Amino acid sequence: MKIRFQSTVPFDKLYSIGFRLLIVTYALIIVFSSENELYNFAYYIALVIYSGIYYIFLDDSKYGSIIRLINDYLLITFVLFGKDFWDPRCLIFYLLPIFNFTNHTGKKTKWLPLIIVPFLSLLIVNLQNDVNVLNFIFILSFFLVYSFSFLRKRNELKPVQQFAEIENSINALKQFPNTYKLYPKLISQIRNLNFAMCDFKNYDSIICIELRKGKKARVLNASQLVYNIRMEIKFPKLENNLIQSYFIESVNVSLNNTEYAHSLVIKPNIDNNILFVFPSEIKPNSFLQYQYLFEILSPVLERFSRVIEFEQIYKNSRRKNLREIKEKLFYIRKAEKAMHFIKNKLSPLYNLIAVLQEQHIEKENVIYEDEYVKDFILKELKKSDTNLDKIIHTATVILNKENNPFTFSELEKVKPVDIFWVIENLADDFFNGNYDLEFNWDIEKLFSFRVEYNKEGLYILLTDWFSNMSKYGDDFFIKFIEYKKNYKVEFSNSYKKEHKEKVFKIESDFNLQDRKEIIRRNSHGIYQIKSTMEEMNMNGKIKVRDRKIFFTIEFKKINKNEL
Amino acid sequence: MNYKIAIFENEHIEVEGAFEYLNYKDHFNGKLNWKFFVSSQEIGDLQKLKEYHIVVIDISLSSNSKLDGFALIEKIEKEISPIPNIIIVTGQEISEGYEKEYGIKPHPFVEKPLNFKKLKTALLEFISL
Repeated sequence: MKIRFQSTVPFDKLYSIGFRLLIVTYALIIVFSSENELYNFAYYIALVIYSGIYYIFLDDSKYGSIIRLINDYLLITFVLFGKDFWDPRCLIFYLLPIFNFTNHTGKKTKWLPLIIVPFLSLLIVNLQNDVNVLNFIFILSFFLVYSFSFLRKRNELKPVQQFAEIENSINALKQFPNTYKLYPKLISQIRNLNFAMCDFKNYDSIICIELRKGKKARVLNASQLVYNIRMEIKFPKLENNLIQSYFIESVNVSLNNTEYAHSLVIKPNIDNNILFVFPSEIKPNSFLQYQYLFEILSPVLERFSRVIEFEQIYKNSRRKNLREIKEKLFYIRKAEKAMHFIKNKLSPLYNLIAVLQEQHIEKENVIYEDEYVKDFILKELKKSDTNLDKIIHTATVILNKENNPFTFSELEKVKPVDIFWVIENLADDFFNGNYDLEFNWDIEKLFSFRVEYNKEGLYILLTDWFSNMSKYGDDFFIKFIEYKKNYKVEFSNSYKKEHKEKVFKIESDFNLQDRKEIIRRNSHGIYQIKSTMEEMNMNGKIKVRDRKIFFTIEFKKINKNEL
Repeated sequence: MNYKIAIFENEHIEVEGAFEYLNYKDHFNGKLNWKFFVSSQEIGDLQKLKEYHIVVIDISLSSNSKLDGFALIEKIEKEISPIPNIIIVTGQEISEGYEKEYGIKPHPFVEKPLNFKKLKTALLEFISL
């Protein structure tokens, strides 16, 4: 892909002016060095008119390039008319605009004028000459080379022009990870492509996949919900963890349990292992279709792959931060609980001080043994009262949720599909793709609901549970179940015999109502999971059955129209 | 006149002293009669709360309690008419507009730790000496 920089120096204009100076100079040389049909002043006038027209249309970006081309050939035809066209000096003069082709500044190069105008000029200047077939073959071959260059330039620019809007949208992305939001626009443009009677209407989704050495490939994002994808494709060998080649393949893809026999897979970048899958059930009606799609889509997909790579880096660094936060979280939770405990247990002392104050200070009801004891008691009572207030105030400040950076009670309303992505991505990280997934949410109705969650809270909750899952067993399974009022996600895994006791302890600790008891039993992970769920106002349960442990979390459905 | 108070509080040992002192001759002079319930379900039929002048509810009722304090208040407001006099007790700071956040009606509240002075101020919202 070519990149054109916006320079403050108008290089294109300078090249154009330079070329026209060359034309004028060359024309003057031919006029002075050859026998002319007309008086010299006629050529001078022609040169002045030529320069005037050029000057007028120098800044016209719409038709300027065609007018400049016609202007060039009008001058060339005028100067060469009546002269020996096949004389090398004349011939080179005629070919100058063709040599200049690569510097053509028109934004949208038009095919027809670039052929017709030189051809008409050729006919006119040869009106008086005998036609020599060999000479015409020479010119024709020149035209052919010229046409190939033109086609090459047009093909280079076409993908950029075709998907200019998408490129602009990629540039305008302000939030990560949002590339998947641009897929519908890209799909719509692919469906509207027009090439050699090919039908592109069968492409209606995009799935971005990353290949990983020694691990299952994983879905990075997609234009639709993907809960199950399988495809058989032979990839070139991974070198240094990279497939160092571009490719396009037609493969059979099984997507969400539906077969797409003629799907397209494109790998647009050699610097990463990202590829894009375009599921399709219809066989292309031309063998050129794939090649065309590769040529036209590669530049924009290459951009996508790079941005998606950055998104992955961003996601990983976010997860790293969350991991670090998580380690500190449990300590903070304990400190909070300690503060609660202190506040609750202070009641008798707080009440006693209040009673003593009333009796000793406000009512002066108490008889002391002597003045010394009276002064001492009153002084210490005042101090105790002040200090107790300070202790309570300090504990309250720590317990104030507004000051707590680790509270997960601020909930965000999201599409249920976002929850799916979070769980699927995290599970993939944890289990390296070695888990099974069953998806039973109604996809048709999925977008009419919202669910509430806290991003950080769900991360802490899931990572704690996944740690438990990977610590005590295998056969990891995630099931997405839908009920009338909520969406449920059930995580299950088998456990080894030696972990039986621990697993039952997790179940009983989780289902224990008494939070103090949970802390006392020191079930760190479970306590964290419970308190995070409570903060997110989320229900869940743990069950042990048939040598498997099941953990279910619920997301209450919120009708989108009620928001 | 005697005042019956239902107190939903799992840490009753810590707070009972404040009530006891309030029954001292200089304050309510033995007019307060209270009963503690450590969980929301301990009272059984919620309609029994009609017999009480005041219902004191601690928000953190989660140990062995089916409902926490806010959920209990919500249920009382729905099921009992007229709504009894409710005083909220909490270990945490309650922010302004808490009633909207939890979908309940506004009620006076006292923060823990409790002493008889704080409690008296709250009770005087419903009891005249």
